[in-house]
Amino acid sequence: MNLIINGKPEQLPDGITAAQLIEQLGLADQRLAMEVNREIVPRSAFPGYTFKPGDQIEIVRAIGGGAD
Amino acid sequence: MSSVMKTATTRTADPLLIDGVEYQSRLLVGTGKYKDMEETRLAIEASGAEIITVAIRRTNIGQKAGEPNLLEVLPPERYTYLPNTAGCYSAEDAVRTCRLARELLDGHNLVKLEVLGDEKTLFPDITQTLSAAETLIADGAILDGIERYPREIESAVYFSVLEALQNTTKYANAGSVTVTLSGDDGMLTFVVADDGDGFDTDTVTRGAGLNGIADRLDTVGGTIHVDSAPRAGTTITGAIPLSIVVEA
Repeated sequence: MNLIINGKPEQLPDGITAAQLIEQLGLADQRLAMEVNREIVPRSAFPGYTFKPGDQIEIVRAIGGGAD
Repeated sequence: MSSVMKTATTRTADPLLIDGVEYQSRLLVGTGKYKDMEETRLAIEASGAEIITVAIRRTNIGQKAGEPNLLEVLPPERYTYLPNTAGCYSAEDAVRTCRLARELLDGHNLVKLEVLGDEKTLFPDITQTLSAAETLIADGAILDGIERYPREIESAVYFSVLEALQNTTKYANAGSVTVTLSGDDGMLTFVVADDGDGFDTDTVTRGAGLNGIADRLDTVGGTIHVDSAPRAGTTITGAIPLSIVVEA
């Protein structure tokens, strides 16, 4: 199934959950937030959240910045 | 800027109070542009700042997996984070960024909100910024002890406080200004108090600012009271009744 992750198309197995995706991307221990098709998916919902083909996923984190 | 050089590591008699939290330092610093995380940590520590701004950005996938995380280097338990919306050119983008930040920071509500209007000068788009603020405030009560009120009342208070603060920056020459909002006894009251020059309320005619506040409050049945004297600061109080009292 094709998913758009942070603007890039990626091929992932059908029925993959948000928790599995995070694991697969090597981000399991990181503080992050996820948006799917512009809606927040809370971290607590990751294990049960299943993507649909074509979902647009944004994964963000906090980085240094903000003085300007 | 001289104010940025000030460090405040000792307990001050005049702390900054935001949403029930006392800050000893009034310095807000950014966390970008340092060589690495260690330099960031040391610089923030040396500044004495307790409030820091951060950017919310896409995670680099497949790169720098072992890179230290800002949230570990500058623990949110110790620093108050202000996620900022730099780089957002619409209210919608700014609201999305703030909601992602809220999720990232476990429900933390404070943000540094600004919607940019001009790519060259980075001058903010005030209309879009206000619209984003309205959406975020409607998302949930941001201040403890204050409920949600009818839209026209909230908007009257918001713009009155904004107007009062503009007056302070324009005329008062103040060192500090305090905004207090309280809702009890059937009244919603806001107080904007500064320690500036003040003026003689008997001889100085009200300008467009104060008249604007009076008009705005009048539309929701509220009143304004101005307390000021030369060299004694200015206190503007607005009071809006929350329910209509039927006279017997």
